[in-house]
Amino acid sequence: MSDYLWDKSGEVDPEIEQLEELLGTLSHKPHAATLPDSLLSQVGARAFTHWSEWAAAAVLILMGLAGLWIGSERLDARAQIPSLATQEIAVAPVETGHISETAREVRREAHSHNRSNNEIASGRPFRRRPLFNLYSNQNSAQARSQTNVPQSANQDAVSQTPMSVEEIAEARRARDELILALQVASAKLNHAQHRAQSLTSTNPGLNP
Amino acid sequence: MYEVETAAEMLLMVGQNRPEEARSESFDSPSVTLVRQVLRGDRDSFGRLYSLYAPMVHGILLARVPAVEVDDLVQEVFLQALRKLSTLRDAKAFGGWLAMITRNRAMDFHRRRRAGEELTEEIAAQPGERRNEAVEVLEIIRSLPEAYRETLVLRLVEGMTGPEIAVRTGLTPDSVRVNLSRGMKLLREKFKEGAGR
Repeated sequence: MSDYLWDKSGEVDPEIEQLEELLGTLSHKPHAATLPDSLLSQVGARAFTHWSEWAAAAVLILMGLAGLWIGSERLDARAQIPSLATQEIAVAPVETGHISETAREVRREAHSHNRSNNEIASGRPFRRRPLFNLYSNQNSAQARSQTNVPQSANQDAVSQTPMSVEEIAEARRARDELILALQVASAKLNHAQHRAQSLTSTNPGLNP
Repeated sequence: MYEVETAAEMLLMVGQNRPEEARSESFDSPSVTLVRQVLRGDRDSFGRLYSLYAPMVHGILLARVPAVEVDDLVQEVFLQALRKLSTLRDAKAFGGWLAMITRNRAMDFHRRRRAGEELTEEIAAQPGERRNEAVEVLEIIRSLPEAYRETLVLRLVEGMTGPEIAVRTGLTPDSVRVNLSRGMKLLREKFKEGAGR
């Protein structure tokens, strides 16, 4: 092989030189040897990927911290439930032969408070039953109790001595205050329950 | 005799992807530095790397695909190389690695074209009589075995020397020398065949 074909040194081969001249028209043009803008922008983007990786890691850490914070809030909400549920509830005297709708609500609230309190005291985890299930249980309990309650209430009313007008008014005020207090407690409980449910729905793994 | 030559050619072609044998420090060390700088996000270094290797990529593509398609494919090859650059373990092997990407891109081009569009008449698309003549000669070179045509295009079209081809492509200098010699011999035979008709 001639040196000219190998490294363009030595005697020039006319045939090869002719081919070089002819085929050189198809060669890579010097102006095209400069880097296009489209590729330059890719270099910048590539350098940026290092920063984007760091940013992604930071976002993950923030998400983890947010999860911890939400978890601690949930624990606080749980801690509020026993304090509310351990409040003693005094039931106002019931008028003869009549259980008002409000009294029923009071009983229902007291029942649910006691139930939650028992669950906490026994160390069992909260069970999130569907509301319809809870109400159906309550309704069946009420249906059972309604057959008995009027009789016992009538018996209690018969055994009680008649109250004066002032005493009745005072009892009603006390009952209203109690209802108000229970409504506040109920609202707080509902709020806590909603928060716990929303946490459970967003991250079921948190719920034991 | 021909079988013996073919076997020897095959052996040389098999040995072509051994970049460690093709080291020539005069060409190699700037590329290594540039590759490392590009990995750090240096645009200027990528520009210099592009200037160094664009003729090689252009030549490899020209040996395989129509001339009208080559410029676009050169851009695509460099874009692909840039995206995959972080996967390159040894910066010294950049030339051979880029050449392999280029060859794969050319194969991919033919696969896609086979599946879809019709081959455009390359010669008709090229303006100028001399350019048409050049494309005709290029077609003859393309009819040669792959190892020969690529080396010949890099030498005759891109004007690279044998040692430069060896370093840029990662071929061994011996392989390049043999490919040039035998390729040129076959090309001359083709010219004679064409002149005899």
